[in-house]
Amino acid sequence: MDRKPTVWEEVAALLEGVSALPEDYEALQELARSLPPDTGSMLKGFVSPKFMKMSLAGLKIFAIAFNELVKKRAEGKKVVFRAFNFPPELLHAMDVAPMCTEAAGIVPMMAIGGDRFFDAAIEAGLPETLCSGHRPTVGMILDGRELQPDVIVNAGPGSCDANAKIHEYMAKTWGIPLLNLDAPYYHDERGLAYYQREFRRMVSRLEEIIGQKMDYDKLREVVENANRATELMLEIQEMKKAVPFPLPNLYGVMVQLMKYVWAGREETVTFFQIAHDTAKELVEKGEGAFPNQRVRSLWVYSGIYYDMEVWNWLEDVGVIFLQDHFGYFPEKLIDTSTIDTMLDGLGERCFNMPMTRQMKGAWDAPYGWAEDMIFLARELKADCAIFSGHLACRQAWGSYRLLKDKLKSELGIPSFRFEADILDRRITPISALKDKIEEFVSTIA
Amino acid sequence: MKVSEELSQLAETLSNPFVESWKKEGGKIVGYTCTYMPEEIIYAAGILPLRLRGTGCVGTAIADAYLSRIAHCSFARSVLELALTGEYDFLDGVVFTNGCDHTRRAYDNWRAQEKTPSFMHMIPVPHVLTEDGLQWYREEVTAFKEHLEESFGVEVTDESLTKAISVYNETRSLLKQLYELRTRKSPPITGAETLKIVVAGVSMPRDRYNQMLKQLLDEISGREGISDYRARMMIVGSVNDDPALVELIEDTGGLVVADSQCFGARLFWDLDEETGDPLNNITARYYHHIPCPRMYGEYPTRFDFVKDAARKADVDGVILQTIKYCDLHGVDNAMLEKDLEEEGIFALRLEREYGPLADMGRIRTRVQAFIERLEGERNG
Amino acid sequence: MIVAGCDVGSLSAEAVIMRNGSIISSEIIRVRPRPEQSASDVMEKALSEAGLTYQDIEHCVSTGYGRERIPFANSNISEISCHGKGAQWLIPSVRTVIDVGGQDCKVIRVDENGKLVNFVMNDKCAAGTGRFLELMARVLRVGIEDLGPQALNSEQRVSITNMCSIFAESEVLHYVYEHKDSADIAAGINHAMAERVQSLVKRVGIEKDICITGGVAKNISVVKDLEEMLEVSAEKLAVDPQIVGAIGASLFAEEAISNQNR
Repeated sequence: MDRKPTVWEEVAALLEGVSALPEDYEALQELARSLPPDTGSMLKGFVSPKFMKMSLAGLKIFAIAFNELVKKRAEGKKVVFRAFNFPPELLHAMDVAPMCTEAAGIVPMMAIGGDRFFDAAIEAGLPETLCSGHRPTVGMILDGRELQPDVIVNAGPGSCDANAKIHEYMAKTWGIPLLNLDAPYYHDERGLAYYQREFRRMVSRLEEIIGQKMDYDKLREVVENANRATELMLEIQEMKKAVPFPLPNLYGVMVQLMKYVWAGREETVTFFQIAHDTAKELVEKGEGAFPNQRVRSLWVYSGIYYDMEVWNWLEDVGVIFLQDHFGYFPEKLIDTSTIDTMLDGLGERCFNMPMTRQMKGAWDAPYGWAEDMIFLARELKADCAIFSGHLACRQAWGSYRLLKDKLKSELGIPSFRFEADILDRRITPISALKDKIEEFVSTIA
Repeated sequence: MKVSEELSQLAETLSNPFVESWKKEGGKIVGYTCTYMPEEIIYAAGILPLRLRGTGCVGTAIADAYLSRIAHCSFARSVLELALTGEYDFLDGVVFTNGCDHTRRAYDNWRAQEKTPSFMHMIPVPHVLTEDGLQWYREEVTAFKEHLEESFGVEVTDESLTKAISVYNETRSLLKQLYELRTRKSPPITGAETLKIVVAGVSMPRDRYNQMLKQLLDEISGREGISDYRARMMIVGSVNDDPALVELIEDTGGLVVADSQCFGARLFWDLDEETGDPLNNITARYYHHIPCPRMYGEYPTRFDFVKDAARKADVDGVILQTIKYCDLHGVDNAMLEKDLEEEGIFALRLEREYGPLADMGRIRTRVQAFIERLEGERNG
Repeated sequence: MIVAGCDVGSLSAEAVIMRNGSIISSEIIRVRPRPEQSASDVMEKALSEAGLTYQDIEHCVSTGYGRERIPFANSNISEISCHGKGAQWLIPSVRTVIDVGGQDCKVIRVDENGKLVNFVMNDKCAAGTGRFLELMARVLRVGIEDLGPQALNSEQRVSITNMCSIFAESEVLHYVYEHKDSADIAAGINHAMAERVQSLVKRVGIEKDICITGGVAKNISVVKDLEEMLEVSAEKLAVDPQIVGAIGASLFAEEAISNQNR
């Protein structure tokens, strides 16, 4: 190889040993020890020791996803970047190398470190207050460590200026076609119809650029997988109402990996099947996934991802991670009769992806942030709400106060917040966050 | 008093004698944000449209409880502060657009208060320029018109819209003439004064403004041009209704002769079509006017506008300013900086806060250094 | 021809007097409460050293934070232009000046005549300025001037990841409690400092040769780290880096006279 290996190749190589891991925490720890410290940390961070089967089902997907990307790229497939708030199912049905923009940078960052990638985007002239979600990706491309995408699907418009703008920036800077998906302000029939038309137009453009029309059989295969996974996921969602809570905290994080990166693939179904069976068994026995469950917390925006070991730590101090807003997927099954029903179904699914669903309109809109969070807090019997306070999030910070007041007045539950960058560990150290969490918990446990 | 002085004064306060006398005569006033808000509709309803500003706000302690100091634009916070402290109580209504994440949350927080204007409306504007989007926008503008009619017991007829178009187009033509004067080697007006004139226009009855604008143009033509400047500048970036920022730049020797601002050229550069259905014409004009960075995929149009305006006014340097936390202009300016420099038009990135200029020293140093750089380039 | 340059910053004030293109005196003082006072005090010291009076100075250019308030200055020029000019005069091959002062950090690009080509500045955040070193030195209980030399003995530098000085202070304290070697902690502090500076540098890019000015240039460890990160060795100044701005100002004073005479 003449050029520097891309981060995908590096990560794929590092995670090679993952697929062969037995369901044994010792074995995982040994593998982790043999890897560079950041990679080792990442592996341990995504694993709940008591739930090896579920954890490995999730972890393996990292390895598979990066390997596949590398392979497809080598085969000359077009690389399609799309933000997290977009259903990967669509792209898994096409002969492309799809990548979630954020994951493309964040996962390698976790695996191989590189705080300075956050800065590379700023060094190129982007504002330092811009959301760090995409900066590692942009930084890696600027550094030559990440391959430039061939097409960019922009799902940010309407729900997040920063997300939309950075995709526009990438497209413009590297001369890449930009396919915008404009989310309207209202989450109603008219809004959905508008969005589905946007979605269909985007698909047509994609077909043109890639030189490939959507194949019914392939799409159906992917959507059927997605439907099976959705069914299981929705049943698990019901089981989350149980006291004690029947899932490890990491489930709430893994579900996002499934939905943002690997939806529509067989391995996702496997993961949800395992998670489902695990939860079911515990619910039937009236047992919790971990002992000493003191506080059921609903994270109203996002979790903290710059130190993955925090999820198991929360269990140690008795805090249940019911879920966060980014792990909420109130979706319908998709009718697989025709390409049209499937594309419209995916359009509707896209419309309901986290952030698009909640943040494109008013804070108190039907199906908006406040309504969804209050619904979840009630359904999942939350004792408190936690706002991780991602510093660049304008929409969330701009309505947190209103949400906090509403949670208190309608459900009588307290809300706590941090100020942190959820991805960049250099802003608020994890020790400070842990102290704060312990403080919160002590006031209500 | 000279017309220029009379108009300039209006930028100093939130309300003014014109507004007060309008109210005294029983007139209604509706405040609004954003160049995507079709003012003609409000005018045609016989209501005074008043652009929301942050003028006079010296602190944002109350607004900060809703819009965070560490995540939100100081302009949005200032507007909200004025709203929450009753300074906008004289309004009979407000209409916002979902211009950016900051302002739409300002609207949400205002709406959530116990005491709110009796008329509040949000016009959601698509973020892309498509046929479907234009249709959506037309529907929203129609809904707004109907809501306005219902709430204020007025009718907005095609006739009144046609009249509005003619009045607003007149303003636009006059302001374009004013901007044309600024392209001269010795402009008769500073950038700061120009901003005051523009701000005056969105703070008073439009008919009277047009009259005064015509008088202003006469008055100005008699002036001796300004020639003692060190460099010709253009301002591009985040919202600014505060002449103090422009004065700061001009005090350093950089005469501002052009802009691409929403209290500026982008506000009035495009005219309404005058033949055909007036509501359609207004809608089309507002949808397609020089795009704000919120319109994704429209960067090339914006860049072309900046480049052309810079060339026409013989600009030496472009000041790409952003209010801290402004993602839309922040990213846009990153692209502009590179493209402008490639065109041989030098650019300065300037991050600032909106409001009483606490960071005057910082801004002055940068602008001065930029001017020194420009002089160096010019003198070879 | 006798000219002067006066640089009034927020922490120190400098004055330089030049005769026919050579420096005949230079002084550095800590600032007084008012910039006018700082300027006259430092200028008078420089004049006294040169055996001159105000009347002997044909043209004086002021620069720095307080540059507009100096009554005896004929004109004022930004410290950005002055630092660039002064550094390039001292080392003619210099094209990039990295000025790390007590309160701010500037990266200045100049051409072969010391003319300003581009610049970027950080004056809002303590990280990447001398203030950061000051805070950390305090926690480590060493003099700020010891941070550089001490770090040279380091064998295993600690990692200071926090960008915010407040949290970085806690990190340092934490290492102190853990009885980590002072040399290693000092090295970590210097490295973190260099990282912040290098990030700013990259915003405007470098062209060789580079030099580092300002108070922090005296910290050999930060300089070494920066050189490694930027993959270039910095030219060393023969004079106290703190007077570079005043030198540039006096050079501009010279030019002003030449331009008048044309």
